[in-house]
Amino acid sequence: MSTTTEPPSEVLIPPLPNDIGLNILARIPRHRHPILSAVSKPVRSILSSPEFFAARSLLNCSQNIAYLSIVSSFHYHGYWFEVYRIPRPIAHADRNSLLRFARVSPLPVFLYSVTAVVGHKIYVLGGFTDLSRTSSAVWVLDCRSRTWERGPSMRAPRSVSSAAVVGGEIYAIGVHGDELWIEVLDTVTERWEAVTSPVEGKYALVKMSRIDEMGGRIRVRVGLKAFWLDPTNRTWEVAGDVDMLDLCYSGQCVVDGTSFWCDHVGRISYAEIGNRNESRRLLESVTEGNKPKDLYWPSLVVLEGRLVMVWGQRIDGSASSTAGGVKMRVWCAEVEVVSKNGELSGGVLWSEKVLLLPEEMEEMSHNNKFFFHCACLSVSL
Amino acid sequence: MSSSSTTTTTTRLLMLKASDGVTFEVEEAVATKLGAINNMVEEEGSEDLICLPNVNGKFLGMVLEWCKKHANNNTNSDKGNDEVNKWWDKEFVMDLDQNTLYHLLMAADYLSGTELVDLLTEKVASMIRGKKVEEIRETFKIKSDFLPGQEEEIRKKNSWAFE
Repeated sequence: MSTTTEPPSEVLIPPLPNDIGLNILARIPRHRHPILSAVSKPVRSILSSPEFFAARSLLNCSQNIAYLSIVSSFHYHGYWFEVYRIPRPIAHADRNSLLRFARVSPLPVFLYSVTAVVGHKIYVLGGFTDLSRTSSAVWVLDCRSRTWERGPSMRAPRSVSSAAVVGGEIYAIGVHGDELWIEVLDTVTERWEAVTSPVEGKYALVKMSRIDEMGGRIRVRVGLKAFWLDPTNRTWEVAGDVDMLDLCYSGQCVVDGTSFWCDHVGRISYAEIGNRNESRRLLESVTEGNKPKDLYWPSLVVLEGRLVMVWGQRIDGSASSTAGGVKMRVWCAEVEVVSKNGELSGGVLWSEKVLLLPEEMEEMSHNNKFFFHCACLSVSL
Repeated sequence: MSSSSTTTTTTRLLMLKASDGVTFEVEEAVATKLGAINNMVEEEGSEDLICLPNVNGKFLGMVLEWCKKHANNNTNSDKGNDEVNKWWDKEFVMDLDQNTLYHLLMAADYLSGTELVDLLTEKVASMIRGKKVEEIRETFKIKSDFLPGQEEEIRKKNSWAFE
């Protein structure tokens, strides 16, 4: 408060006042932010500030940013990327000229960990640190600054099978021995608390459990049973039985009221959401001629409303490779879905290798537990 | 929110005086599209001359021109008006040079013309999108204040964005 003139180094866009500068910069889409960050220090520091994101939200300029996580049995780390779909000139429409991957620093890997989004943060809960040990660790990605921090650990190292978010609270469900456990994290107070399980003692189908948020309530499915949890008083109510398919297709993607799911050889099936009588149907044509080849553990994700299949390709080390280890290549294929007379058919718009993951280990490949998994989350920024 | 100015159907005129002494006689419905003037009218009544010491006549005139167009287009509430406004806004900002754009933006901001500020900041933002780092610095006269090596580090870390 001692000087009357602002030091010039603090000005975002001279000679405009900074509130106007902020108003202008908040309108720039996020994939251009790295370029802005190289313009000057004041611009760079505003880009990760709370007032910048508040301005974006106020101006209706917030974007849903896709985060892709990739884990494989060849890596000590979980790889994370922000993915942008940037339309390119028509001339390159048949190639992957669209996807851009912004690397987020990798995370000490947790196979089978579970993720949840609260505000601008992604929580990664538990999982395996190697193929035998489970972890109680929680990692939190602050998507604004793309940095990881340690979150409050779960009450015990246990494997988590799924998580759901209601009112800033993360409910995690998992199995320990043959028993179901549920606990809840208040992301404000950063405290975990146990929730009484709706099923007592041991239950054969306990491993097939999942938790979902539905209209502000929590729905827990354990085997063929379903329960509602009221988050306000943490009481249970029986919701009736669920059909088996509901559980089998838990890795589904939803686009325009239709759920899509892909199997281990990349066949995509679909079903209308909420139509329990309808069985899943195969998406024709993707299953036939133009299916991408060499699929290993394909996952289906939704990127900006479009179906994208992601899979890993194992590249065994050549003589020129330093360690003779195994490299992992990531491929993507964009699937176009067309509706005709109530039937959907699909076509692969393009399929291409998009990433080469760093070479990390070879030991794990000995036990033949080849594993590749990718998941996509959406965060409003 | 107050519920004033619906009492009379006759158009009231306000006198606005810019920093360089230029005066504008405008309809109240037009001038009150500017939040600052709306506040003054509600607080003091609209009989007096309103002095605006932070805006000169040239830019006040342009701001009022914009207000007039939008006030006119909004009177008959037709769905097509949105399109008309959009088209007119596009024309309005199309050929503005940077200096005029900045002065207009500061005037609109001072007068709390939120919609006009939105239009003009969007125009400046469109001049940033699609430009390279050097082009942004050159267009907006921004000096790099990075230490040697810092900028290279940022570029290297985000190489995907600098293709």
